[in-house]
Amino acid sequence: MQKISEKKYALALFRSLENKDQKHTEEIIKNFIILLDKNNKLSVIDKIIEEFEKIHNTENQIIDVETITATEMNDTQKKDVKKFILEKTNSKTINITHNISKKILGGIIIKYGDRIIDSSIKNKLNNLKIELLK
Amino acid sequence: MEITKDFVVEQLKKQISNIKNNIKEEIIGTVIEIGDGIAKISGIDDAMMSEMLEFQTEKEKIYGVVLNLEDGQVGSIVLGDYRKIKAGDSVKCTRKILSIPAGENIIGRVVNPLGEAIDGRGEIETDKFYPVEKIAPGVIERESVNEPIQTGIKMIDSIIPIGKGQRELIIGDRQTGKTAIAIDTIINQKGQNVKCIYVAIGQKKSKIANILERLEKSGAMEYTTIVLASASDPASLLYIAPYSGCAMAEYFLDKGEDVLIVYDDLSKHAVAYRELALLLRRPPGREAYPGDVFYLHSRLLERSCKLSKEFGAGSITALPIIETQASDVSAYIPTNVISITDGQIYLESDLFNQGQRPAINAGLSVSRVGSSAQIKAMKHVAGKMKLEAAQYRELAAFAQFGSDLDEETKKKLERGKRLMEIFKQDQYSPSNIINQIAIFFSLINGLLDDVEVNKIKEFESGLSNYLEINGGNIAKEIKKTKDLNDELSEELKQTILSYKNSI
Repeated sequence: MQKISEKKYALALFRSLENKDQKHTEEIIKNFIILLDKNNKLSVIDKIIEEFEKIHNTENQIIDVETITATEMNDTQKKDVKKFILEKTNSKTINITHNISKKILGGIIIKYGDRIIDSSIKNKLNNLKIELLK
Repeated sequence: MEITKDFVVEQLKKQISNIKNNIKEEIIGTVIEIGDGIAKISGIDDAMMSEMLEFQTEKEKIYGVVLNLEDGQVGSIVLGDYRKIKAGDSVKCTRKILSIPAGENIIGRVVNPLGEAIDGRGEIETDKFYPVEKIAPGVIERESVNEPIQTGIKMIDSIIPIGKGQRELIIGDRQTGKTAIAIDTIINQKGQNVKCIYVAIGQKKSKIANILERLEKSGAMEYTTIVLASASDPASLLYIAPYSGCAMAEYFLDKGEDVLIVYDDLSKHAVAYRELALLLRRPPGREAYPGDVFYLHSRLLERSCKLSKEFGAGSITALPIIETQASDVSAYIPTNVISITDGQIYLESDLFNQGQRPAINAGLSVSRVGSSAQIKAMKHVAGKMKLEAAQYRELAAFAQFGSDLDEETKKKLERGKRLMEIFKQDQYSPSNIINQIAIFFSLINGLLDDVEVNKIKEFESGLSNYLEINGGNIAKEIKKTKDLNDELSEELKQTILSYKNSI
C-alpha cells in the first residue's frame, strides 16, 4: 500500500473538521490521534501540525507576515504596513510579527510566504556597491 | 587641485543619481539539501522549469538551473562550486531562462559554458544575451542543404560531402583521429567567411591547450571560439556546454552568417547528464541513462539548420563526435545519435594502424544529404569515385587468395590502390578544392595509371605546385562557374599532361 504522507493526514483532518462544533471537534481529534498511534505516525505529529497550519491558512486566506525594521515603528506606520500587505495579497486576515534589527541600518524588510520585499538601507547600499563596481 | 576634487565629487553624484534603486518583490526559498552539484530547495513554489536561480552565499552569487519541480520542493543543478553553498542559504528566483552572453567579441576566445573568459585575456564585453535552451527553427524557416562546406579532407569532400546546415556525426574508437578531422575542418574554413565554435565537453585541459596552439598557429583563432567544460568541471557545466555553444552560434545565425560547430564529444555529455539525472533520482533506463537521453541530443542537433533567404540565409553546421567502446556502434548513445544526424563518418582503429589516415571506413560512412552538397565540378569527378572505391574493396578482399586475375580486374585493383593512396592525407594539411578536383580528375581519366603507387604523393604535391603557377585560368573558371564543362576538362587534361611530361 502506498505510504500516506503527512500532508494527506493534515488534509484529511482539516476536511473532517470543517463546519463542526466544539463537541464533534474534540471527538474527531481524539479519533485522529488513535489513528496516528495505530499507524505508528505519532512521531511525525509536529510535521502534521505544521502542514495543518499551512492548509488552514491558505483555506481561510490568512498569511503570516514578518517585518524587520531598525527602530520600533509607531502605530500609524504599523497600520500603513498592514494596509499595504492586505492590498498586495488579497488576504482576509494577517498575523504580523514586528522584529527589530540594527543590522539593516534603516528602512524595512517585509516577509510573507515565500516572498520578500527588501527595502532596507543595507540592501540599497549593497546594490549601489555592485553598480559602482561595474 | 580644488577643481579636480569638485569634478570627481560631481561625477560621483551624477553616477549615483543615475542608479535606480528599484525595490521589487522577490521570491526567496531556502536550500534544504546540497551535495554532488545538486540542490534541493523548498519555498519557491512558483519556480519555472529551467529557470535561473541565484544562490546567495556569504561571499558571492552562484547560479543554478531548475531541473525538477516536485511537490513542495525544487531540484536544481548548481553551475559553479556547490561546496560554497550551505543548507539554509537563501535562493532567489530570477524569472529568467538561463542565458549566456553572445556577440562578436567572443571570437578568438576560450570561454566556459557560462560565457566567462578563461583564457586570461580579460572580460568579454557583449550586449546581447541568448537563451541556452531554444526551440529549433521550424519547417517554414528552413531550406534544403545545397551548399558545400569544404573540410579540406579529400576523402570526405569527394565521397561523404558535408553541406552547410548538415549534421554529420564523427564516430570511432579512442585514438582514431576523430578530433583531428574536426580541427582540420576548422582550419580549412580560413577565408571562407565561416565562424567556428569548438565545444569541448569533458576534455583534458592539456588537449585543449594543444588544439588552441594549433589553431593559433594556423590563424584559425581569428574566426573560432572554444567553449571549454573540462574534465574537472562539475557535471552541470558539462551538461549545458553544447547548448551554450549552440546559443553563441545562433547569434551569428540570426545575423545571416554561416557557423560550424563541433561538439567534442557527446558521449561524455550523455554521461554527465546521466550523473545529474541519477542524483536527481530520476528513474534509470537502459545503460542507466534516463528516459529522455534521446531528447537530450535530438533537441540540440535539431538546432543546426540552413535558413532560407527570407530568414537571413544563415546556417549552423554541426559535427558531433561520439566515442565508441571497442567499435561497438550498437550501444545506446551511438545508435541514438546516428539516427538523429544526417550521416556519419566512421573511423576504424584497424585502418588507422594500417597507415590509412584519416582512418575513414568508406563503406560504413555516409552522408544522407549526398551530392546536393557538392559543387558541380566536384560532382563530376567524385561521382565515379564512390563506385571505384567500393569495387576496389570487394576485389581486394577477393584478390587476397592470389589466384590468377584477368586484365580488367588487375586494372581495377591498380587504380583502387592509387585511389587509396590519394585518400591518405596528413593531419593539419587541408587540401583546397581545385587540387582535389585535379587529382581526382587525373585518377578517373587514367592519367595516374602509369605513376608508381609510392610516387603518388609526390605527384600530387608537384601537381598542386604546377597548377598554382600554370593553372590560374582553370582555378578561376572553376571558382566562377563551379562547373567542369568539356572545354575546361580538356584544358585541365592538357595541363596535367604537360606537368607529367615535365617530370
